[in-house]
Amino acid sequence: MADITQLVDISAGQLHGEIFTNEEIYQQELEKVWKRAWCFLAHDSMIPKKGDFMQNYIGEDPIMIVRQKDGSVAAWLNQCRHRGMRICRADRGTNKAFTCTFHGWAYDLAGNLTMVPRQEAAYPADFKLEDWGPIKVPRLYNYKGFWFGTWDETAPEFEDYLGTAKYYLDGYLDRWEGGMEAIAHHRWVLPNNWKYMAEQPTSDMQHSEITHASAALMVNKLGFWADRSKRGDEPTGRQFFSTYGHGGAWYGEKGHEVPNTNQILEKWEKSPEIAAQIAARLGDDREVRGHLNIWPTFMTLGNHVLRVTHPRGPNEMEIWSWAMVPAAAPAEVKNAIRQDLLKTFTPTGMFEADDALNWEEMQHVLRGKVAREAGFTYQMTGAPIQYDFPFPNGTGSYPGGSSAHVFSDNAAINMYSHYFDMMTTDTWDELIARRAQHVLGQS
Amino acid sequence: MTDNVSQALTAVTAADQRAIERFLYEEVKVLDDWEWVKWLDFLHDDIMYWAPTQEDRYSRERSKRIAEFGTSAYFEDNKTELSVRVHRMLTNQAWSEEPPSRSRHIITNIMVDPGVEPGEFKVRSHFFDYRSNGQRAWDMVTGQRDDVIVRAPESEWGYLIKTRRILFDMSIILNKNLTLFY
Repeated sequence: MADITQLVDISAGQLHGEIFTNEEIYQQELEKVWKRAWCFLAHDSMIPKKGDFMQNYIGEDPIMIVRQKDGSVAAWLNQCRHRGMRICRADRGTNKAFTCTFHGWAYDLAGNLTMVPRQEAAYPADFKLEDWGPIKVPRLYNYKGFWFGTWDETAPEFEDYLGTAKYYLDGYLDRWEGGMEAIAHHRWVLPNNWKYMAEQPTSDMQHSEITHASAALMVNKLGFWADRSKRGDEPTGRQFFSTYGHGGAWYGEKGHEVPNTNQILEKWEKSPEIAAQIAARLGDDREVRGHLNIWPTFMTLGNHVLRVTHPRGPNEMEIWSWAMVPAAAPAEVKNAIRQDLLKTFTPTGMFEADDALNWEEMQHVLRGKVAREAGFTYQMTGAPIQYDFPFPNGTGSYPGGSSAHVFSDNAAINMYSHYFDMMTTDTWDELIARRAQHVLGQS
Repeated sequence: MTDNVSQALTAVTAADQRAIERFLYEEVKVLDDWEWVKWLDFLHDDIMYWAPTQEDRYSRERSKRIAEFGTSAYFEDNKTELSVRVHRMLTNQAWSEEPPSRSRHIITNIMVDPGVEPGEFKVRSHFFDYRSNGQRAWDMVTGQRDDVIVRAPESEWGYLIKTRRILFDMSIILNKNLTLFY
């Protein structure tokens, strides 16, 4: 097992480049992170009817997510137990059963093996179909329409895993009656370690001023997009971080937030009916929409792009991205959300393009021995950490840990602290105990 | 003269075919020469520049392979939006294209057919676009374009692209980004 204890220094805010490049560490991540974390699999709207299926991944493991006849959802490893062939090769669709195209082993929607060719003539009498179905994802949870799964039977309940991040996540995806709906999908590959994609929406708001300078200048000319000029020059807003590595941030002080949402959605949400609905559902006038990541890589932005990023070796990652819209919103609102993110956060996106350049160059520079030893540093810790910080108007507080404004590495440091604890523990019990000791700003 | 090729050749004059070929070569020349503002002169004011996504489907659902208009796309831009993309490149802060890529657009298989209106042509072409940037990064993308091109004698180049559908030959895009025009 790779020893990363000398490579991650949380108190000094220092990471060795090896954790972003080393194959042995990567294999350990598949074991310790990806086999133990809760991972996003599908949204109800992606597989609405019985027999609807889609492919996704947990880490590098291909997963089939299938709507059952009774309306429930099953998820199973997309690997024939016979010789390991990918059972389903369509990205999505509707089906009654699945047949492996290698030898013809056949499976029902739940992933049960139902037929093996030549069973009677060629297999012993004690061969049992029920012993040889694909591996099922043992734990699934439907969080407000979003399906998550984990391989680890001892992982905490999903909502405990979210912890204080639940408050902030709900501010993105539980605002509207009727829930959300996926209306566009993009997938692409980037030549860099997956943790860059985890870290940025967890913690790094400041890169936007520089990396995305050109895009921010231009998008205001298109009228309906999020107006980033309202963010002002002074650091505002807050950044939260949560026990199991989640984090996020938004601009503006309480009551005067500057959401990263397009103006047509904002206008619709300000109509009395919808505003009342949002306040009733969330229980407060919650506006926390900037960026957010649920560890490891379930990520959303205020413009309602939603992603999961799959690791592909230490030097590559694959982004699976959707446009999520309020299902009950007028067509004009849905289309504005889709149009906004088509032009900002896709392979042709005017924001995304420049993130890709950073990450590619960072990864390439890490080929250098001295560069790997120099690694990355996280010294932007000036914004004070507060717990359960009260709203200025006294009507409530921001749950859990948060930093006094958006420009902070605190959430990244917390994320890598959780990463370190995952990588160096064997059980969730151990991990939970470790996280209770590693409270940012208090230990 | 009833075979398909003969019919195609009589439906459009050789002069039109040659002119449109030249027009498409001039278009990619300005792109490869980093003269993006000039590229806007090739575009009709009402252009729809659309690149739907593709995914794998079982054979009985193959008609859903290409995303419908108004759903998943890499581009779904009008001229104003394309102009915003162009002018972003000119800010000198669009880091992924600063310094700009060395790009080579190779346009082939140009087939010109009559359009619906007089002076309008349906033009299919194939592309093979190579890009190199920075010290070692490179990628390429192939695909097809289905254009409606109109004759416009008053315009800079004599023709204008009224619609373009770009089909990239990939399901998961294997390039880090698609920052060129195609």
